[in-house]
Amino acid sequence: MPPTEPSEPRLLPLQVAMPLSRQPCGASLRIVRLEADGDDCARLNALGVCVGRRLCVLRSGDPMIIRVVGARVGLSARLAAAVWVDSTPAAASHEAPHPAAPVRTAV
Amino acid sequence: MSVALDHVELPVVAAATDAPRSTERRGPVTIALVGNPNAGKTSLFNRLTGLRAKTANFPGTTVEHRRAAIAIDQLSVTLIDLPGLYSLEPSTPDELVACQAISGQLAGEAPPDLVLLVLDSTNLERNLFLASQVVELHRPTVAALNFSDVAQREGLAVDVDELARWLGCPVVAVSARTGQGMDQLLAAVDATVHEQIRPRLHPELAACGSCGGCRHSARFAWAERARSASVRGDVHAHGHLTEALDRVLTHRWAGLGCFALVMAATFMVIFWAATFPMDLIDRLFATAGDLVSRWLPEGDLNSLLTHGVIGGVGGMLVFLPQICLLFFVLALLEDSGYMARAAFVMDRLMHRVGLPGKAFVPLLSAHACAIPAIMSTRVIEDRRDRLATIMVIPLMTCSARIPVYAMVTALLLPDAPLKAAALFSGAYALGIAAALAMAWLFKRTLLKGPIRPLVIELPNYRLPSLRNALLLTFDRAMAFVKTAGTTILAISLVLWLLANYPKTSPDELPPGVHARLQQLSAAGDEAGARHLLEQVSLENSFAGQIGRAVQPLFAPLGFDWKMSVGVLTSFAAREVIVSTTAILYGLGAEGADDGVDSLLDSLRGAARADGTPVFTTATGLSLLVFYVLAMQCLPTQAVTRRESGSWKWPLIQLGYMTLLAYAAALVTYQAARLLT
Repeated sequence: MPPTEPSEPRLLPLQVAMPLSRQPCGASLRIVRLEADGDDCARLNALGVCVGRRLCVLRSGDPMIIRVVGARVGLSARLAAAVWVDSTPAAASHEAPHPAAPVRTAV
Repeated sequence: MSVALDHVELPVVAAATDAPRSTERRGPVTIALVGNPNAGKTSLFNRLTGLRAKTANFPGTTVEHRRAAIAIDQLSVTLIDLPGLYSLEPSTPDELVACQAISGQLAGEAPPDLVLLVLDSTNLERNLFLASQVVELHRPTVAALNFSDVAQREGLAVDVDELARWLGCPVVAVSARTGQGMDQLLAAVDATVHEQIRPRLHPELAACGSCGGCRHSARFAWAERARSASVRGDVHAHGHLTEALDRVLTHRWAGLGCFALVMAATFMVIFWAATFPMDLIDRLFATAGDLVSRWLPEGDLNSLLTHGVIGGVGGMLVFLPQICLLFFVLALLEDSGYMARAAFVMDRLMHRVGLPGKAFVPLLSAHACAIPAIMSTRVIEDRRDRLATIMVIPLMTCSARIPVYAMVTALLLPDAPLKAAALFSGAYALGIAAALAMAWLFKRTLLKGPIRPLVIELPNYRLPSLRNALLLTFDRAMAFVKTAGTTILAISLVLWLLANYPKTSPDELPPGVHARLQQLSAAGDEAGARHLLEQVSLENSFAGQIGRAVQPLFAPLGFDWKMSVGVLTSFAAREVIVSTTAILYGLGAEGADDGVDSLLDSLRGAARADGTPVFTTATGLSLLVFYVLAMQCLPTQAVTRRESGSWKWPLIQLGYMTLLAYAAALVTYQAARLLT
């Protein structure tokens, strides 16, 4: 897990980490931190929700739908609150965005 | 829960240097099918094996899988369909067993000679994550690129050779649905297992484990590169339709509405379509019983065969059409990808009682029959959640309760159809409320644990495969007949013994009965005389004696000794209470079939020793509440035993439901007596 804290801007000068549960529909985001415990973390990782990867919010609310690794995943808000994301543009994380992903970026 | 697989993450060995097994070997080899859920693993398994598959548990576990012995060319093969996996780091018992089986760590199960990786061409990137972990195990591996026909239709071109280079193992494009590519797949399997060819790790994959940061992230990055190098075309083409459908089907309110419609349609189909085969089975067994009773001389053997064996087995098999239809429709829904959406939209509501969204469909299915419902809880990953669901499923009103409800409502409210309908619905509501309350209680006591938050892949919608659904239905139906059939047969025989012995010889009849018998015979009422004799015989049998012995126990519920006997004889199958009361109140066994009217008349006329009527409103309500909540179904218990892996859970189920039924009936009777 990289040492990125939302309150430590010197590590991430431009981006602020936010919980995934509060992101709007259409947001394309980068995962910076997982705060879920062991089992839940393993389930998230196995589906592609892991630090450094990108995801896209397809439906907000509880539960929400995200697209990650080319497939849709339903996620309860409680678990989404443990996934910290920032809005680093796709180019900065040296990964191409999904062609069909909405390009709107979250504020 | 983590299995020690991490040590295999970094095998930089690229070539098969292990001493190869004898190349002459044509003996039985084991091939394990490994793949993501929804990758079409089961379709491929069915395509390769057809009806030869058997369902079995892995030794020492309740995890089920299917295996089959087939022949590929000259090679005899045991094919094993492992539970679906997203990665080799398991988080459920099923995944753990699958991981152990692949790596040969499962006691009593030899490691597979070949791993057959099943990949979904339309969702390759996600599938390649597991694939990368599997090839690192360094076992002979062949990848089957499934749904290649769908990919082609969607304009996706997969470069099989390029993908084989990334995976380091043979890759064959197949379609389990059409059978396309099967010959090439079998040839590749034959060659790989024959030569014991092990995967050559891609250099980037070999480096994957050693780089810093999140090792999953590096692996997903590898999967993304492998996918973009080997697939041409819009990888999301297949998702457009799914996205459009999901806009409605996963909508907060519209999704719930659609789900209600789908379930209503499912139940209408089940209840309507099942009546025809059910009538047929009923008639078949009636005819069989008739033939046997005519061919065999009257006596114990005749009665044993007609009432004990044919009656008992027929009573169980009559529900088979409903069970099969339910399995069939649920399999179609699962295969289409809709079930994941159902779990998704129900998750928030189900959390209130501490159960996951996936528990909803099993609970709803229990309104047809608890047995398929209990078997369909396999989709619930968490063992505690699954057990809690299994424990409360029998509280839902299944079809076997309907005759009992019908009898009591007709008895209490003969001329008030509206009130009768309300009482009927009330009985359903009581079952649902009790189930939800008990689930809540179980999740806070015996099965205490955190509620597992929802993470579920919402796969692309697909046209479901009839062939798969039929095979699954056949499989489950056989499992039901085997599990429940043997138990039911044994219990039917015991109950028959209890109800028929000791015999009442005509000389032992009390003088009053003798006189009435003679009166009836003189009046030419042969049926009446026979019914009286049946009634007296049952009264004097072990069942009758036990019923009278336990009657004080049921007296606070308002049950007379005849109803107590009914409770005992319906222990294995609740609907038996109707025929038992019919016999005990002097109508004969066929009294229940003659139309409920004659039974109701005699029940209404029944009086206690002191002359007060037996069936007051209070007694009727108490009987209804008892049958809503009591277990009274042995096949369900047998299936609970099978699914939970021990007798502990069916016993707890029986215990709590009986206590609950008793307490609730007691409160109902006493309260109703005070109020009326």
